[in-house]
Amino acid sequence: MTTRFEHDDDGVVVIIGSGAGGGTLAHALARKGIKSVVLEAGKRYQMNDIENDEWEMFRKISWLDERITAGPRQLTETFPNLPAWIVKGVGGSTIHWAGVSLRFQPHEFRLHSEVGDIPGANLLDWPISYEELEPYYVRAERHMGVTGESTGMPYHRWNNNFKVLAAGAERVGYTQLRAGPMAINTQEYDDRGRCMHAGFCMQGCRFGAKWSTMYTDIPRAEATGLCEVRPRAMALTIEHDADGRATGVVYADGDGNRHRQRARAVCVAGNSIESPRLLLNSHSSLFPDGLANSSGQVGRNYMTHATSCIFGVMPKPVHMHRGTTFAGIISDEARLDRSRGFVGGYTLEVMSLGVPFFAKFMDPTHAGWGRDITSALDKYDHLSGVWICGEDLPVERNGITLHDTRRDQHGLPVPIVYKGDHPNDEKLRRHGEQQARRCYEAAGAERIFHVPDFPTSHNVGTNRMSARPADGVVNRFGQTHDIDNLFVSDGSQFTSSGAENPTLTIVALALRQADHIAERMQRREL
Amino acid sequence: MTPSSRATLSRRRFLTLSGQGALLAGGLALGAGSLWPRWALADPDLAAGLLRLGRDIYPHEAIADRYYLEPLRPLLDGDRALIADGLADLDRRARAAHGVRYGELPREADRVALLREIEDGDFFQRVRNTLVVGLYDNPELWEPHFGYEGASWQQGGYLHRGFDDLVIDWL
Repeated sequence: MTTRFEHDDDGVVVIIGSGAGGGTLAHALARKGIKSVVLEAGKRYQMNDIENDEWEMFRKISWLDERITAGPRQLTETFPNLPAWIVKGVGGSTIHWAGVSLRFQPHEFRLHSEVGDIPGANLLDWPISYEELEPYYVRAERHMGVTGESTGMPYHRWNNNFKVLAAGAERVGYTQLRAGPMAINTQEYDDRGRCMHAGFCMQGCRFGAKWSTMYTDIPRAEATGLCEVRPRAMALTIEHDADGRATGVVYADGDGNRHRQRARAVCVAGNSIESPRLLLNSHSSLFPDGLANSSGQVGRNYMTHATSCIFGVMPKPVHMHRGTTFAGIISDEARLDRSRGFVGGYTLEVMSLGVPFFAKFMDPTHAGWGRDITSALDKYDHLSGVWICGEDLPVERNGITLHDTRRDQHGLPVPIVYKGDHPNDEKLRRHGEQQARRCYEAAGAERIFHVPDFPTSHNVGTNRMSARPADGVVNRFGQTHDIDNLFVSDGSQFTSSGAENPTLTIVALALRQADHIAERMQRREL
Repeated sequence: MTPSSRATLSRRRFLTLSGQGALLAGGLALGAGSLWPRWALADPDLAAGLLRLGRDIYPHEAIADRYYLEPLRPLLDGDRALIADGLADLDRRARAAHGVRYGELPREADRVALLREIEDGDFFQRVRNTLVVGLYDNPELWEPHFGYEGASWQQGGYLHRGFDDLVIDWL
């Protein structure tokens, strides 16, 4: 059964994007009897399209439309056209995410109140508290199948990679070591099988053990008969009427033909580069600076997490590629503790790369060749790695702007993705690198080295939530301050980055937004 | 140690020995030519230059010539002038500094020093970026040389094949 809605059906909610935000929202709305059309720029993939092959999957599913990396950071040199490593396909970046499902900590919703003004940072409290979001965290965890208390699923057994890091971390004095919470089944759950520890989480889970809207929310929403997903449909502009209410979305289909889908409400969930880009591209005489941009904050405060990678060469083979890609978490440094010289915290997450990506990412600078590189590769099976996921402070200048002249295949201005470090980010990163090195030293590593940032998968903050319309783009429900029936439903809503991977919080916010939209529709306000 | 990892080690040792046998000091052994692909034998000067360069960029003595040459071949079709000019430039630099061609420089350190001078250029980065995928994305090399096992879902992942088999006995 494939539902089709007419282009002039103005009773549908148009959702742009089908990942953690859009896919979850479409399904949750359908459960409440609300019709939606999902415009997804990418193709639809089947389970047998998912291969255990790093480059093959990178070429197949990545968002590779032209983008310009900018700002004082190494990525500007090393990946000038690939600032972000995210997915173009039905399911969005939930195909690629690694499953780590940490809740934000209560204080992270009110970082500004906790630490006060910080020069150069555009700090702001979220307009919602942890306590308000907590019930939605529980729902999100059950919805996604997150190991731990909400589902009763046990955490994973520690894989070799985590055993190595943990052995060092325990000697350093860390105590908060867990192989979870992960949205990766440790037993059959939600009609999906258990994890087989195949590795390749970030290439898509061939077994469907990791939650992805690709094979959960999207097909289930479609099965209700209330949701139509249109793959290869690139949203170009959001239109509005003379009163400033959103009326529909103009998009290009896979053959380049343009269509206008009318809408009762529009929800933007295209990830933190495309979402603000779409709002900026939708400028009109009524909204000359772009839709929902009276604050001037659309596209600003782009955050990626302050990150770094440390690898150790161990005395014996580890086989880090076996098991989940991000197999364990150390949370001791996630706390707020200004005595360390920075605000915000970080999590240490054990990670692996296969030979193809390790070779590419170990040192992608021009100078990254020679025996330093190959001597590490020759010990590939002895490697263990850890990724630092740290609070990245919002800086107004960091953000998404439109190029003056360069146009993409749809004739839209190419996005420029500008990012530089706040001094706090540098201090946090240095601390994290030093602690990670201490862990591997304590674990007996024969050699320890740093791997620079690769294109980021955590992109948040470019349409941020704020209590006051002057400070941000959307309110506590993701509804834009300026346009009543226009919502933002992805990680671009984040007011701050936290020290946690963003997906769980995106899903919790989407479930909450679905409740809000349904209530307002019931009250005939929308 | 599992039987398969033992086999991996012995295979790796074999490759190490045979690979070293195929190389002479800094230059390339003509004896290894018989293992070259046909196009390289037909174009020995450019092929030898590219091979020397590839081996200096990502040196693994145990990896045979053809694993470097095959991924670099498309450069001779698509970017022949860039490659030929780049290698000629390297030879000029080598002659100026040492009186011999780049490929004839016996000391790796001398060759590397020349390459550091040109590493920001298009020629060098074109070869490097081609090789970083072409060499390391070759499944034939993964397990024998790097101990990387590649795709696993067909074997049911590592749930029963050692995802947590490590015993840390060195601390």
